[in-house]
Amino acid sequence: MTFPTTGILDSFNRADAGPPPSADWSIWQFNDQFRVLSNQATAQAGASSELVANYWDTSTFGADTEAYTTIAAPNGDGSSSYGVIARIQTGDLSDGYLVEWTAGNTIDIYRIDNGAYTQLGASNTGQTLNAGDKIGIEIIGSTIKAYKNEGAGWSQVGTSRTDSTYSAAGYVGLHCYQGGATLISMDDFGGGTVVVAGGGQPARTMHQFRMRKQ
Amino acid sequence: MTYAWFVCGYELKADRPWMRFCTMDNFSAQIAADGGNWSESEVLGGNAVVKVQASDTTIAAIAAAPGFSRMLTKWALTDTLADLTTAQRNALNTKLLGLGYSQAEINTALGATLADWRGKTLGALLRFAATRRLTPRWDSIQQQIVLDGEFVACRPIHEVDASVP
Repeated sequence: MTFPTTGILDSFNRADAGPPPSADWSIWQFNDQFRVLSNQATAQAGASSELVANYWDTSTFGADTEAYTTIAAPNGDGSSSYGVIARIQTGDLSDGYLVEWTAGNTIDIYRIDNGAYTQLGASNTGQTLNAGDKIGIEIIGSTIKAYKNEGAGWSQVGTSRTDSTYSAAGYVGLHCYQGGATLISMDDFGGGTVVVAGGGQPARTMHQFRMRKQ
Repeated sequence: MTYAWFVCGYELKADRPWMRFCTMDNFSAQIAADGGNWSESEVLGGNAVVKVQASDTTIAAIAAAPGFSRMLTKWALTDTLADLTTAQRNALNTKLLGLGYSQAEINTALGATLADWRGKTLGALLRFAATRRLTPRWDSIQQQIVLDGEFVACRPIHEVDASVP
């Protein structure tokens, strides 16, 4: 199956604003937030050794869902991480699933219960992180997959994980750990309900739309 | 390559204490170097039932590590406990009590005598160990993960088994 099947929700290409990046974003779990700075989602000023997270609040998406983003500017701190959350439960926003790419060159899958994170399975080590790399999560049924794109296309990282704790539809969002004081930046956040092959035309990205217009 | 089942705990990430990982991950590099794999089901008491495929050397190292309990030397879920010794049964009973199950629950599921246990399979033992778990939460005041939420179902043992074919 291809990844992603949905288009970009926010390219952050607009005037500096926030936090949050716009009215379509809400703060997630009393953490620091992103704002728009130089056409990217950048951690709010003063964020240091804090979680920085927002969720796309315009609507929940189907239970089979995905989210992805571009890690525009890793900040060089060894404890930072960059990720996306999905299936954030409407009944308790502190429940859901996370895929994150760490400065320690791992890509890991977590279940989040009431703000407590449990890594599912083994850590995927040896994942060298560079600026411009993309990270994604796909959840179909109880199967959770991590994806990355280092410029040559999307590929699954490691093996899938299975967890059926949270099966309902939910929100998707951006989630980073801001290690150190140099502010991190993300870009081109996308996601939504997974589009099943044969069930319709996969959503196009804003870039694809622009290319078609030219 | 050998298959083995273990019970082990969870460890907090050093720089982010709201995150925890199954301590089997401390052996992931060794297991991967063997060409093996592991998969887990979180169970009661902040523990996990884990199936591992690795070299004999790695399995022995895991078994010798503090906090890891090998669940017999059997690995097929259909293997019977017919040769279970009193000492092994007592050790397993103590482990199940340590997870948080009551003696009455253990007796109902596996029997109250050695003879009862010998009539069970490894699968029955592991499925009982994975009867339920507690939902965790992050306590931002105490800065710790607390296991005091509602009881929820564990990942089924047959799923764990199938993940390490």
